[in-house]
Amino acid sequence: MFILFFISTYAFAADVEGILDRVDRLYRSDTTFSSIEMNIKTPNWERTLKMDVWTRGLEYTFVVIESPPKDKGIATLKRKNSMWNYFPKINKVIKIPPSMMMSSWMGSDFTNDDLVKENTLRDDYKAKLTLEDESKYYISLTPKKQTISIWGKIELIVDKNMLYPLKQIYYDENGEKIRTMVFTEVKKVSGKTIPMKMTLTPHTKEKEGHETVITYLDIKFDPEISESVFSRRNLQKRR
Amino acid sequence: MILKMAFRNIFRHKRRTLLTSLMMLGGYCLISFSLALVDGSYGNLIRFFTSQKTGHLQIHQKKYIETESIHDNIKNFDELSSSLSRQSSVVSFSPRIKSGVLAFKKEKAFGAQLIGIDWKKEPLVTTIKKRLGNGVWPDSNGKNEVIVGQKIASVLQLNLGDELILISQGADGSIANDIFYIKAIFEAEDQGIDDYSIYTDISSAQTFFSFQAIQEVAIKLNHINMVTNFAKSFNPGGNLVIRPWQEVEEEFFRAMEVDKKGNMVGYIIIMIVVALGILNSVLMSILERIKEFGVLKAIGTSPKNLILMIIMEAQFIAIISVILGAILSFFINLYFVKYGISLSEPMTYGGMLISHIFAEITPRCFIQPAFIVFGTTFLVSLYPAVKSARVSPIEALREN
Repeated sequence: MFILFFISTYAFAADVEGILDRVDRLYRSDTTFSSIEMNIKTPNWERTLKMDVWTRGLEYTFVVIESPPKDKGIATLKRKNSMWNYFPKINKVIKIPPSMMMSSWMGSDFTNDDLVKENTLRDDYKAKLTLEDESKYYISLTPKKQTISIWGKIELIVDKNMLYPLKQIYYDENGEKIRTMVFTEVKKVSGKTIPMKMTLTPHTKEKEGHETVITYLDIKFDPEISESVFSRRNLQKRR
Repeated sequence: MILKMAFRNIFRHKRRTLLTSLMMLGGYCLISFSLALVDGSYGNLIRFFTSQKTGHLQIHQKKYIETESIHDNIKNFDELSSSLSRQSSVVSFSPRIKSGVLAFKKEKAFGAQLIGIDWKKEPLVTTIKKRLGNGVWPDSNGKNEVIVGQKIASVLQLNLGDELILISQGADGSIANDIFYIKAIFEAEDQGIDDYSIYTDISSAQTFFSFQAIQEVAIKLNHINMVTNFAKSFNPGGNLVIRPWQEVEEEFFRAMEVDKKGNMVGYIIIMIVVALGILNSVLMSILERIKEFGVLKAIGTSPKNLILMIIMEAQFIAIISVILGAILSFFINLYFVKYGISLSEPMTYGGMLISHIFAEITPRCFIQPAFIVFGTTFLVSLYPAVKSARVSPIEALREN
């Protein structure tokens, strides 16, 4: 009886870890190349950016803005825990200091940290399955002791069949709801079933009326991407 | 008769009269001069302040005053501009845009404020053009031309013609970034005012910040004393508010008011000293003549007439002293209007470097001390006058 119980909890532990790992790597694979449209809405302005994104594992990301023309060529490179922005108009690379990690990335509601993603759900958070119904898992995540995270808790809702996320709710250390990310428009692309649209809504007062929507126009998993794509030299190339 | 006696008394004892009137004269000049200095230093400070940057009045969008956000701006400047030009008391006005930027030169960075101005209109409101050190005032055709403060120039080691990279947040959420060219550098002497400022033309600033409005209109009137009335009477329309410099630079104004009150203490002390001096000499000149008054009373002068005589006598001296004092202090003040008092150590006040305190001749420099001299003379002569009027002739005559 005891053994049975032990096995079942163990089995579940493995299971949740598997889910988290899947969520962590859903959009990332070994290498990916994607075209993204990012629409940012605030009470004062709205704009849409189109960009190309190259990734390699969790550690390397390279983003180049394609439109609007005014911002074309602005690029962001992330290597492990470091991040740089490149501005072609002034031909300047600016390293994002740690203090700026929580600042907005390109005016969106995403932070620089969201892009760097030093943390993975699987390795840096303690997971607990709080609820399970016919179609969804409800998982509650709290940062592990050694994890440096600004989130006090993340609630994750995952589709049971296809194991893709449906919703992520972020809380701060005081249990206050900070932002919600909703995943929609599920499609099968390059052999993976993933939500193509992510809507991020902040709940803080100063960000009232803000919303950022990311739509994947195209995503390719495991294309050939040379290491040099993620180099400083490539970042600084005028496009 | 009494008038005649009063006059006679004045000229009878020339030395006594001279002494009393000298005291009054000195007191008058002292008060007049200290008032001229107070009015001068604040008047200069205000003129300095309003002519350097603020202007006499400013117009903003209502919300901007609190938020200073680029989104709370003035959208219909053309309309505002035409209604301002119709005002006869408006000498000139200048539209502005302001926002924080990060200035780069090679690896060095400096936090600054980018101010978009109209190259032609701004010099009509402020002394900005006079503060130019190196370089030439840009014309209105060039794009991304800037004038930088001496401090920025020295920290980033900028020279004329150099490229300066500016980065900021655009109004549309984009990252504003562009290259600007140094056309001129402000004079080192004016440190404090332009330390953190980078000036460019309005349209370059608008392109840089990706927005089409303006944020501020600075106005210059015929005379600074008109600001309060103008602020009340002029309606900028819509959600815009007009504020006189006292409100725009509230902190500076408040500090100045507190300072003024502090000076008031010194000023009151000077007044007391002057009053005591007058009291002393008037009192002495009357009390030493108690015997005389006793004689007057003995031959049948009524106490009322005696009081009148003594007060008149004192007031005559006061009138002469005030007239002489006004003439004398006019010249004293005039000297300090011209040359000022140089401070051994220049100080900064409200971000301005002050090396000289200049006097200023205002009506109150002459009116106030006159009132003080007349008033204290009257009050001071009242007591001995009453006392000597009450004295019984026998006692007075016996006193020796």
